[in-house]
Parts: sequence; C-alpha cells; structure tokens
Amino acid sequence: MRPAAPVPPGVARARRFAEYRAGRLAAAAAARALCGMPCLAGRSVSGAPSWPPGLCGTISHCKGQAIALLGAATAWGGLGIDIEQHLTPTLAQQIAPVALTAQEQAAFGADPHWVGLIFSVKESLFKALSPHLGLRFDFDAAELCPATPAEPPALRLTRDLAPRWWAGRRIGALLLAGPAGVMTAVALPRDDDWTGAQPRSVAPPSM
Amino acid sequence: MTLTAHTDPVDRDWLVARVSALLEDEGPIDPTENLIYYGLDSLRVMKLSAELKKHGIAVSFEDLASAPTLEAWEALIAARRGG
Repeated sequence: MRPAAPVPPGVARARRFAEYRAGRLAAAAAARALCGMPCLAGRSVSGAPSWPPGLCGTISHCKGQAIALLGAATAWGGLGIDIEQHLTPTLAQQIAPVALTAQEQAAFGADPHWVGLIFSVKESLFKALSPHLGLRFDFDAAELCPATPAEPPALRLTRDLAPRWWAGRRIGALLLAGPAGVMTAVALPRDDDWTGAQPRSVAPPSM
Repeated sequence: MTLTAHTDPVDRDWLVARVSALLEDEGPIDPTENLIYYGLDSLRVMKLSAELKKHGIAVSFEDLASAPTLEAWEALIAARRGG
C-alpha cells in the first residue's frame, strides 16, 4: 500500500482542473445574465456544485468545453445538464449493456449516436433529480422512449423512486447533437412535486 | 460469482492498471483520494463498470460512482466476488 501523497501534476489532472474552472466561470456568467450579478458556486462533499440561496443550477464539462445552466430556485426544483464527446463505435458497444436498459437496447441497439445521447441524458436526469429527492439511483432507473409522431423523445422512470416519482412517469428532456458532441438537459419545474403534473419538454428535440 | 473466459485476474494490480489507463495519466494514485480529482469522468466510470461485467463481476455505475476511490473499489470488487 502506497502512503497517501498529494496528487502530482499530470496532463489529465491539469485538463480536468481547467475544465472545472471553466465550468465555474460559465456558471458565474449565467448568474450574471439571470440576476445581474455573477455568483461563485461552492462544491459539496460529493463534488456537485452548491448554489447561493435563490439559485439552482448545473454544470458540465468535457474535453475543453464547459457549460452551465442556472435558474431561480422558486421556479425550478432541479436542473441537470451534460455534454459529452461523440462516442466511438467500440466504446458505444462496450457501455451499451450497462448504460442502456433492455428496452433501450432493443430500440436503439448500440448506435454510438443514441448510446451517447442516452448516457448523457441520464447524467442530466441524475443531476436534476438526485439532489431534489436526496436519493442516488443508477442508469437503469430511467429509460429513453423513442420519439413518436405525436411526442418528442422523453425519459420514463422504470421504478418508483419517491412519492410522485413513480415508475412510468415521463420526464421531458432536451437532446441535442452537433459536430462537437452531444448536449442534454433536464429541467424539473418546482410545482411538479406538489401537483404531480408532467414536466414539459424544455425545448424541441433536435432530431 | 462465475468468471467468464477472461483470463486476467481481477485483483488490485488489474484495478490499478485499468484505472491508470482510464485516467490517461501516469504516476501514483493515492488509494484513498477521490478519483474525480485525478481526471476520472463518468463515462470512464461507466466503461470500468462494463469491463467488470464482462469479467462476471456485477458492479454498477452507481456502486462505483458513489465511492470513487481505489480503496473502495477494491473492497467492492472483492465483496462482489465473494472473497
């Protein structure tokens, strides 16, 4: 067993730290746009950002890119955003059996485009919902339902997580794909916990 | 738990080697330090979960992500292998 030692410098660590800082700067800029002054997000024990009273938000960073989404805590019960690079076919094949449910694998296979979007949107859901419920859950707790002519793709809970967050509940999500990778977001209106209303999609689907 | 045809033993050395490769970073890893601070991201945690599943060891993403240190992962893998 090696003795505990400070983390030595390394390329991956330096990159991650720069991305972390960029995410905080993005959050500060979003706060300025939202309420006129920047904010400094703290860091909880779990590593998730913590926000000044009155704000809620979410940060993501990936390979030189960072993004933040902030809202008023009176309006939003939880926000989650995630960006990822496009997956290689090999990586998509590798992670599909653990990132996708059996139904998702049947619907989407191991298509790198969809495996990347599904992985990302479940990350966004976890960021939005887990702090809200005070509960951690895994990738099999929700699945992406393919779009229909009437409805955009949406997440559906596969098991009961908490009162009003039951199996089968649909949760709107934003799914975007572009040249640099994918971006997903989940926004949970605060009123949902009280009324049981279905969250609306935060934006039209990109595909 | 039955091991599959994968011949590499999933022991501490295997785990350290895999995590080092996933981090794309050489150098020692403090077994008690949060691996997120070393540059590990969620996609890589998912990749490791998938690799363990291929070795017949059922350790979910959430199992790994809830305590992301080498020490915790070593104990988790040992427990899931029953030894």
